[in-house]
Amino acid sequence: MLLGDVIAELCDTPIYYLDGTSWVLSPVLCKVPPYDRFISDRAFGQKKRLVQTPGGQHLPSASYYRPGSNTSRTYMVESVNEDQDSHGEYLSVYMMREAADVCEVLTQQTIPRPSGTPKKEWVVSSTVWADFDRFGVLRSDELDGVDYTSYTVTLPTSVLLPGDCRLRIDNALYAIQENFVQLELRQLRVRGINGQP
Amino acid sequence: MASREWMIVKSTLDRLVNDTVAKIATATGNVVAVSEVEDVTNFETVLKDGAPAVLYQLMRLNPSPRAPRFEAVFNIGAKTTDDSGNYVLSAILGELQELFKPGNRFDLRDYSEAGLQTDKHGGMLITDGDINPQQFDKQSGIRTIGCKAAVLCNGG
Repeated sequence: MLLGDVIAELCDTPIYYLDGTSWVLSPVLCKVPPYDRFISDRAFGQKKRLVQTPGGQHLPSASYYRPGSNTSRTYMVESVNEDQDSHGEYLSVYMMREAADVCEVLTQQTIPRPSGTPKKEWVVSSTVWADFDRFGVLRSDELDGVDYTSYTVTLPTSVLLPGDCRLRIDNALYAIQENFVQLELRQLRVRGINGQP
Repeated sequence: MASREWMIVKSTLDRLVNDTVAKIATATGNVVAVSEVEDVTNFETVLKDGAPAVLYQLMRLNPSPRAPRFEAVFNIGAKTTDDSGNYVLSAILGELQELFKPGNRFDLRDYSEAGLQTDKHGGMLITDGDINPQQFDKQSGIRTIGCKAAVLCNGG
């Protein structure tokens, strides 16, 4: 029996993916093995899980996934690696990062007043899930002794952000300072605005 | 209830300026921006942009001698950048001078929010209008007209 056949037998967990606004059952079954919580980055494995699929069977392309049921925790694909032997690919390993925080993306909308002068308002243009974590300290370059907290917001790369936007997480507003892609995810360094620390 | 005279005069001025800007853009074929000088979110952007712009500022609205009779003082002018000989500037100033020449009257309405502009709250009569000297150092493409107006406004 080939290794790939064994893996296919072991992958018996359903996984759902977000298609538009609804959670759809993937045609591919997976396995969610325990993740070593002691060999990890600062998130100590609490936010990450592995999802394995049989060789040659890939998860449908989507921004978010829910292994097990469509009401379980929401995850994003951070990376995917294929394991191979002499017979070809027998296992695909997805590193998943949990997207536990609801993030509202705000853009500025211009509404003309009767006077013709535009009224600008920040409105919610989309709502996404993200991973929100503290990054470090930003020292103020204008005031001595004033520090700000820099946070990291991690999103799927498929989530497109408008050029000029703000993020609102748990009723706090954040402005984006940096925007870069790491593995399969987009990472934003953000700082609180409007009185947020 | 808060006094509405300033809002009424200011929003009427906004309406007059925006209508004139649209007319100037059509007449000259240029894109013309507009900004109130005190609009901190917009003024810097308009000043740095290469397009010609109409700039204005309601300076004072003082009882004269007491409400509902006021005297309004405002500046309205133009800014151009790529304008050899300042002819675009002069053309825009001409349009503004015609609109705000002494003797012209305007109805005062509250244009701040939709639905409020249906009621007339008084009138504004232009009593004076002089082209000011250049007001900004090293920005020779800006000229304003200093206007005064007698205002009768019942406050809404």
